[in-house]
Amino acid sequence: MGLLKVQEINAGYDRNLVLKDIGFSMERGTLLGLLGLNGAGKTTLLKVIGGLLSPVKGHVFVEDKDIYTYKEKERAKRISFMPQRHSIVYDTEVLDVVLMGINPYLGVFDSPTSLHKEKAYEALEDVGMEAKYKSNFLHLSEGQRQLAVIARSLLQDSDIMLFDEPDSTLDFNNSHMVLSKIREIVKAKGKSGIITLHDPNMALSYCDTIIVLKDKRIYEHFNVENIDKTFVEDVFSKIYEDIETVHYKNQFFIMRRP
Amino acid sequence: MKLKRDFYQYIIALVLLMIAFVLSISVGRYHISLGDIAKIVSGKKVDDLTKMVFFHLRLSRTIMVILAGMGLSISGSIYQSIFKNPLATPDIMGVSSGANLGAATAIIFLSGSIYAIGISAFLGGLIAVFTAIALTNMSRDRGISTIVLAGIIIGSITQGAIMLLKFFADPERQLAAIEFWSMGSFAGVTSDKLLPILPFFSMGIITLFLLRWQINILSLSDEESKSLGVNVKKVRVVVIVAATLVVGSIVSITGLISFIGLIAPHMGRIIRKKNDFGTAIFSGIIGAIILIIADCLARSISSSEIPISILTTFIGAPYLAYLMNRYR
Repeated sequence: MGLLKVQEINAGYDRNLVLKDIGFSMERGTLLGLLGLNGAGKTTLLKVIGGLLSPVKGHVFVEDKDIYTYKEKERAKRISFMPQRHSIVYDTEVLDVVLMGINPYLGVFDSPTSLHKEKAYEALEDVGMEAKYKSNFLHLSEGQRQLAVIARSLLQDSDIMLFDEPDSTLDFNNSHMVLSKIREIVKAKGKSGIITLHDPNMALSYCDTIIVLKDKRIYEHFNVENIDKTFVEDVFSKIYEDIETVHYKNQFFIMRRP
Repeated sequence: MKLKRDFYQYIIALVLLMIAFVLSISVGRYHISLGDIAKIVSGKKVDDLTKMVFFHLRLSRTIMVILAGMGLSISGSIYQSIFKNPLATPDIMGVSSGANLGAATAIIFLSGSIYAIGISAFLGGLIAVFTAIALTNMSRDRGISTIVLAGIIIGSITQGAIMLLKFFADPERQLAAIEFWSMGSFAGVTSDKLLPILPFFSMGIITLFLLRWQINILSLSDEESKSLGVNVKKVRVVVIVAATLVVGSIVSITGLISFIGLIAPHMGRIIRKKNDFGTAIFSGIIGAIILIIADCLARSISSSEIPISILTTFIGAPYLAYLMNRYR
């Protein structure tokens, strides 16, 4: 039985359905990549799973409990969501940004204690950002900001961690750094991670399973370990069209045919 | 090291506030010397007139100025946090104009007593803020200009309604009262007027203090706050009502005081380089200092007292122009 079960989801905005009949389940310690072109519904699916957008039809269960029956705080203990872009407008210390992750464990009138601050510092250590704990979040580089927000999700310590295009604003090195960190955390702490990505090669390198969304539905759902070259080429050419697959050092890479 | 800096910032601000406080007690048509203030504080005998002016006029007036400066700045700071917008102050969102209309309505249709004006101003402000939220939600762009536009719309509607009320107002009593209220003044604040608003003021501030951490998180996007376990809709409404209660309780006595809620929080953030509740309180101290200085000027600049908003507007409007440039 999976930790997360997504069942027959239809979802969208206003009357526009973006997703139809989405269903899958996930175990602990696995990282799932969501792929698809712009507008394929990746972010929408992530929001539905995160409890941020009620589906038109269907359910999301965490350990057999529908997440839309949870109260905000209880849900936040089970599921964390890292948005594509952080929304911090004002000067804030990095440690304070991370500390926000403790909120699900606080009463509505409480503030974080010094113990929580220590935990936040440890979360920063986990992502290698402890040296910056007193820095102004807005003065960090994009990669460092993403790491700080990942530390916040770590402090939130939910079983299911959702990441919406965490590499969208990052350079080559930072993308690989952030994704390997996410993978490391999911494996080390036994979480279920779902991550939306644009680059199929990133998904093939870091995820255990991949869901490809096309025409509002799941086009393919596969385990990265059990695939061969024809399968990869077949699946991805349906989305990215003119591509070629290369097998290098036990891994598949996709390239646009010149 | 950092704690020390925070600590010194507070100490310096509080010392400045103390100096401003003494200045405010001393300055006015009837001058009270520093020596006399020291005598009164240490319980020694001074002449009756000085004592009367000290207790009945200056002390309650100065306390009111401090409460107003603090309350307007703290509320302004919190408005800016939860609307994620450095220009979202009660003035700019039209809350003040709403309160103004509420007060004018009370002056014309209700008894015009301080309670009627206070409650009516509070309700007017509350209606205005929720209208502003509705207007911004209607627009696709939730940016800074949208909130300013919403404020302009609410301001125009309320100005129209106020003009209508003024047109039908009794020119001797009501019209003067409305005009005077919209310009703000600390003249004639006595302890009898000050005491009744204290419970409302405190209730608002205590609620904001209790919700300080939630306010911090509400400065993120709705989705981010929600995913961190905040019941966004509920908490935000409580925070808005509490902050508007603070503004309402102040302006019901003083009338409108413009721009303090914009300037002080911004200065607080520049100095502290943070946006937590500590910064809101720090902004409150700054706001109190600025308002005391403005009030001292209002009392002494000419032979008759100048309404306070004339001065705060002259400081605030250029500051707003500067901010517009900065956040373009």
